[in-house]
Amino acid sequence: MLPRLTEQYHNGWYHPKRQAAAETQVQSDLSAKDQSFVNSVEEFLADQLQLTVAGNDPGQFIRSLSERGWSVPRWPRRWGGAGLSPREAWLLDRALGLHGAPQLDPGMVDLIGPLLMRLADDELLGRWLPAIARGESRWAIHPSLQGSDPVPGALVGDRFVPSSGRLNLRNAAGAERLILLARDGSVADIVSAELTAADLLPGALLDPDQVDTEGLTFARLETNLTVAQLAELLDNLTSGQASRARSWTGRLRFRLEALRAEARGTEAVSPMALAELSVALLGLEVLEHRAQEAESDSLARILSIRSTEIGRQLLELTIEALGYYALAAPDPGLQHNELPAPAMAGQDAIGELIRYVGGPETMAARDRLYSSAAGPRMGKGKGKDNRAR
Amino acid sequence: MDFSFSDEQTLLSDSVEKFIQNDYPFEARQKLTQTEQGFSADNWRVFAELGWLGIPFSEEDGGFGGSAVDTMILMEQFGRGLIVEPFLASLVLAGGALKIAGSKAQKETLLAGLIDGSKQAALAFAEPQGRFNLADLTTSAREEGGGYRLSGYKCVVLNGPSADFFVVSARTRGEQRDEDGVSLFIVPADSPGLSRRDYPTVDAFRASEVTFEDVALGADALLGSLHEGYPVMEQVIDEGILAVGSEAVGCMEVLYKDTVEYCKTREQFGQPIGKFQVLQHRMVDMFMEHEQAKSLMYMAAMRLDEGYDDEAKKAVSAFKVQVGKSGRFVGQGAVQLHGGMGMTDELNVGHYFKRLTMIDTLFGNVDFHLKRFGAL
Repeated sequence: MLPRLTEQYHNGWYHPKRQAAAETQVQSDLSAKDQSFVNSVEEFLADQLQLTVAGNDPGQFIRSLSERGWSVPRWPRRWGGAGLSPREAWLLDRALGLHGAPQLDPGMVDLIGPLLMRLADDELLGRWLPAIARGESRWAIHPSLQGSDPVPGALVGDRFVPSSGRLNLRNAAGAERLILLARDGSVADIVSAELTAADLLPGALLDPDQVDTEGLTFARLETNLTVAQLAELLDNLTSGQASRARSWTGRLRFRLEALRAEARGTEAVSPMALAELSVALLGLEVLEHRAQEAESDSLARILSIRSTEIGRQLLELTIEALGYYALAAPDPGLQHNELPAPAMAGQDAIGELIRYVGGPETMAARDRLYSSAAGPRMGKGKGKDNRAR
Repeated sequence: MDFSFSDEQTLLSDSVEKFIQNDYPFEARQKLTQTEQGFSADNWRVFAELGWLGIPFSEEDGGFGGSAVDTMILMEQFGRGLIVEPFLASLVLAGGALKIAGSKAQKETLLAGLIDGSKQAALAFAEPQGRFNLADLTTSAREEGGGYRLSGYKCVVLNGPSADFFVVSARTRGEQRDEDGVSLFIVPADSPGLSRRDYPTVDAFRASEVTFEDVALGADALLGSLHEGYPVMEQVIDEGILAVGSEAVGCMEVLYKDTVEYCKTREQFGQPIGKFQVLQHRMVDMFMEHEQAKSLMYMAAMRLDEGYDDEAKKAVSAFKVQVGKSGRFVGQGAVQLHGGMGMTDELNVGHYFKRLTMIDTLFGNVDFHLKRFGAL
């Protein structure tokens, strides 16, 4: 049995009583080639997860992954990837997820990296991408690139003129670089917006999810994309084939089994609620296999929506299970490791829950699914008035 | 995991689909439901001629299929057409019990009749006090003179009015809820002491309340081993869940597709109502619920084909939970998006919704199967 990692290494909920997964899982009849690949991943995990736990160093695991190109599996080899097919990347992601192994932020792997590959020249890519693949460089992104927020500022010559004093960002905590959209030229004209990667000055303030815009320097990415073209590009990067290259259920299964192990023999969580979540996840696991077999983008979109919702339900159950320890707030007077583990888990869970609830992902994903070829779209058909029956 | 159908399975699906398109329009189905029998004997003959009545049975038993996936395909199409012919009650349930526990002689005399369409049957298993517990039986049988005497009461026996014989569960030893001591008997519908009260169900099928008053049965009426009928019943009901759940998946597909089509034409505020984001999201949710139920349908069918064990039972219960939840969501969404028309008798929407609501309760509702799933 492979070791399970602790809370320090992943976003799940750690408790020492965690036990191995016992729940029904979809048993995939893999081809010999796929099975051989999965076996190689399992062997790697058996070795490296032991070392990671023993050395208490999740960064070491990411570096080991990156040596095989597996931290960014679909990127080209020259930028630190392994050039895996979407199916191989899915098999890898599922195996990592089921064992709760540390992984790079999917936003870095699936969004920022491919975006840079589309827009930056080789010199910049050589500087940025390998460091991202090794987990040594973290970027933040302005939500206007994916949502409907206003463009945060304009470029006037070489200067970035922000539209407000502060930017609200995603993944800003720990980030050293920023990618954002800026108007080029007239502040009123956003038709030909340009993408700008901003180097944060050393020592620049990075409050969680907020950053001062004073004193930023920029590496400007030359592009003539319109806002609409850019939005389409981003949509393509985060859906369709990219969605199918990820396992949406592996990590959820790991987290559910952790919660089940914690709740076993107690009244911490309603058994009916756990069973309900298990059924929903089981269905999603089959759906994930169907999406792979049929190479269906619409099924992959369902996965992205439902997995987000199941993740949220898992967090709610986690908070429910923690009981009083879900109430503990971060205390500056305490060292991080002085807080009881459940209290730390409670803080993480509630913070994550707020992001789930506040995120626009499932709304936007529903819009995209409605309009997709296999979704229930309006289309151009005449429609059918059932009353005629 | 291979989700592709064989050529034969694809042909089967296509042929049922064509039958429904050409010969089973909604209006014709509605007329059938108004008849005393509640379905068409002509259609039943067609089913037999096309070999559909032999689908749940292996060639060894005189059938044409035998796999759970075959039955799943057939029933999903039946759901699309809202078929009222008693395939589930006669073939999957009563025929299923014969398939699992029947002797060679019983199969030759009774199963053959079911497959060629000359006979119909019903499974009498439910009792008012038992809710969904198959072992909770007050109906009892005692051994007498080399045969048995059967007494008791069974409720909501599907296809009771048309059955030539019943497969009846009865207690032969132990306490009222013991799993041990349950036996199955084959009881001819014209047996002295057997009486029926027939009625239509909410979803336009037919059922009976059946009373057994000291009904005399021969030794050959016993189906399977004495006192060991519970595992047979459990398997039959689980196979029934797959069948009826597949039917529900077919119903859901029709409902969400018809709703999308309707929203293209129904106008409010100068545009089709399907242009409104909140309704689009509702339709997306209906679409997703259907796909999730379909996924667990595949899972349950494949597990049952791999062998009847705890994994198969879990998969079946998970499927039933999803069918109950998804069916309710899709049905309610369809009715609400159709507005007042969704509640009328002349529109198909309400009829699909009624069937889905019945299916949710049949063989155990969401809560029952959540508990079973958690306990397995």
